[in-house]
Amino acid sequence: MNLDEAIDMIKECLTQDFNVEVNFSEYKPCGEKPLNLIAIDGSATFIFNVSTLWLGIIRVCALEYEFENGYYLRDRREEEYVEIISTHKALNDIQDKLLRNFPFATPNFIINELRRLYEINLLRKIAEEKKNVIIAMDGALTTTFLKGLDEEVKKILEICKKNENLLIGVAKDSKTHAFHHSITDVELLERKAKDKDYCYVELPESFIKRCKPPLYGKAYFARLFPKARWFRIDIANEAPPKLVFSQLSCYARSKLSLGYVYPLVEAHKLAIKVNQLREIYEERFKEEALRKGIPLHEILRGITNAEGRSYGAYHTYLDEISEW
Amino acid sequence: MKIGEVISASVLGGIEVKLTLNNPEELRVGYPTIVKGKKYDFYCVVQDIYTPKSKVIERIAGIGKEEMIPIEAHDSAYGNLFPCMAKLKVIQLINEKGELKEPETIPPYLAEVRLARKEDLEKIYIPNETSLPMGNLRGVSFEVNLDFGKLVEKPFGIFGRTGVGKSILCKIVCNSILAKEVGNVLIFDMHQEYGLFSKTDNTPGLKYFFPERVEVFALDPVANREAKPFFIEQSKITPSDIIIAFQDLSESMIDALYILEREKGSRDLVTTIREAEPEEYEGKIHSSSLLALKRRIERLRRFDFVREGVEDSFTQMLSLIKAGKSIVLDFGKYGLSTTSYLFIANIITRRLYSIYTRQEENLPKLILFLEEAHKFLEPKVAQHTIFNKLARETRKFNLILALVDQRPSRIDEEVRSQLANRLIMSLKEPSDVSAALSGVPDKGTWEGIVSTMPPRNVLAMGDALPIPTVIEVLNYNVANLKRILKNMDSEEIKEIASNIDIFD
Repeated sequence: MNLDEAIDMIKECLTQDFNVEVNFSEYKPCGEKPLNLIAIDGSATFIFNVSTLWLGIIRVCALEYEFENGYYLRDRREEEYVEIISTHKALNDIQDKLLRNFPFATPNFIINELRRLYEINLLRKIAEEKKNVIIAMDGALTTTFLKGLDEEVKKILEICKKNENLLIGVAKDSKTHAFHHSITDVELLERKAKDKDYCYVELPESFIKRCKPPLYGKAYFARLFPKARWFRIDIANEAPPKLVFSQLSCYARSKLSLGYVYPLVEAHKLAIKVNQLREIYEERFKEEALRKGIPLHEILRGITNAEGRSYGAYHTYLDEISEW
Repeated sequence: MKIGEVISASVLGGIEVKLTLNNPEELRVGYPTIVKGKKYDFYCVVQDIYTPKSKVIERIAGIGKEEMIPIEAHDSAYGNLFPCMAKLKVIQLINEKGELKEPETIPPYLAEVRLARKEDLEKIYIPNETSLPMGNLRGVSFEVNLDFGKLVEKPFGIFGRTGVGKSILCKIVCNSILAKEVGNVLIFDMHQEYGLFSKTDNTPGLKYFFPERVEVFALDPVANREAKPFFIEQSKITPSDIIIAFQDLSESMIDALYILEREKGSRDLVTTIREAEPEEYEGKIHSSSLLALKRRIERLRRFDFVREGVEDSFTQMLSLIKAGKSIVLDFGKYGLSTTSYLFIANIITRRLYSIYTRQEENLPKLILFLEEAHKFLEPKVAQHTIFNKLARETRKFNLILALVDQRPSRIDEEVRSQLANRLIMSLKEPSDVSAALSGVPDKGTWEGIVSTMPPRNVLAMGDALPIPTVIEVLNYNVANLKRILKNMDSEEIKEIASNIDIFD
């Protein structure tokens, strides 16, 4: 293919028919003070690797915001966990379950599943403690791949109902093709709803059934501020979407993150401190490891790079060569 | 009040602080701060306040819709959403015993930074018998005492552009010198500000507060009938008086002047110039130079205070100085003439210099306030006058020069380097800022502070203060002076003040 042909293909893609049936629903932004919103997010990083053993840190956090023509932080919770992960043999029950179902699981896969587990644990605590709030999880409302967790999620949904908490999940980046079109759903909606301000669409049931791990709510795409980008928002417990989006739109008016739920920005910032503070974790690990008799050269050899990869890995060397 | 935490520090480069203030406008350049180290309190001044470049800000700048929530209405999980930074200049370390040390080390990361409090400042600014307050430390309600005894030991400078409060500062300095009895002053009062009342703003002058210790002379007795008239006997005029007065004499005119001085015989110099004919000096003086000089000299006829055969008032002035009086020379209508000012100031100073350096008797300390100092000390004219020497030597002879100027860059560098204390107000011309601070360690830091200081603020540095300090000069009003006068030792002054009944 030459360049001309490539450009023609792009042109064809851009001018193709977007005549897919999408049922937009409109809503009005909340005119009164909305419910407080608690944003939950988590992050994880590895700081040490020796052979098949990986030392990881997981951080999950929840931030409660009140909206009063501004976003005011009312409560916060941060939890941090140290995890040793082995891809060779299970070191605890959870890892055992994961390795049995996913024998070729990578350390990253395992630590991410653990992170989601801790997020769900934190969600349960928040759902029990708080009443009449919106709880916004970062990402779609999926369970983890761990078997048996569905029961835990069901319990959380019941608690939310009892305490009149609205549970939602907001995905930052969605690459789905739920409307069976070659372009992503976000792009499709942007093209089709140029003149619509506050609106949403529900994702087809067929799409939800295909999701793995399974969703525990209904999935929507919503525009929370006029002309802002679309975000996928999952709503649990069959809560009325008009009510939810009307409330959420207040939290999506930040000049900093127009159309996106601002407290989730802050929860994300807080969670990824686990990466930003890795030097501090490393130092502490070094001190403790030395104290317990691990030789310094072993410690230094095992410290991982910023992506959590071992420094000795050959691809690190290849990356360096590639920069030339 | 906590204002931030240390994020980087260097002995040479200063301290960088992440501010926790919601609004950076609450902090200003020059404000005193304390960085709480583990062993020391680091006394610093704010050198700069800035917002770091942010890609996020660049992205969202210019986006504006009414419904949007502005960034200042966002709480962040980690302090301010977009924190501002400040650069601090470390001035002094204070140890646990309250002793002051040179800034030879740095505070640790995340050390707390707060505005300086009274108790911090009391460890640094300790009043003594010869000190008086000059105003508040910038940004803090704390009066800073200047040691006027130290100030008048050596030449000092008061620099600042027009309209920033230089005259008021001069008045405060003069009053304080008199109040503490650390010397007497001689002021060439061009705008009738220092006598009984200021003609400009009606504020009380030196004679008001110290009627027994201040004598006023007037070049224009009609305008000030209560002052003693001041006359210059024509024969006392020398070439340097003429060079200074006219400022624009060419080299050949200056040569001509000295030739005429040598050959004047029993006549005075002015008469000699007036009577000189070009043919008489052919081969010695170019005719055009002589004619130009004669034209200049004719301008002296406008000065009624230059007379032939009168008793020269300098003798009377000198005897008053010897008797411990301060002198205000009121220029009256001549105040608008730079020539008259330069002429008179040079004549008087030259003669005082001659008498003080002879050291024949024990003369009282006299502080000579020289406004428009650069006109006497520009390299071009300085070689023909005694001001260079005056700035360098006279502290040995009890005659101290106080240079008051708005263009310090035009003052000879060597003279500037002799100034033991500098009171620097706002200067905008970079060359003036640089010159006012020449010879000061870490000059670059202070340059930024001086060029951003508002009017009525002064950077005081030298041995009259423990550390360089930015001061908000006190309001020159009766209430404030009453307070200062109360601090005075002299019972006589208190009595005078109460008799005048201005304070009730």
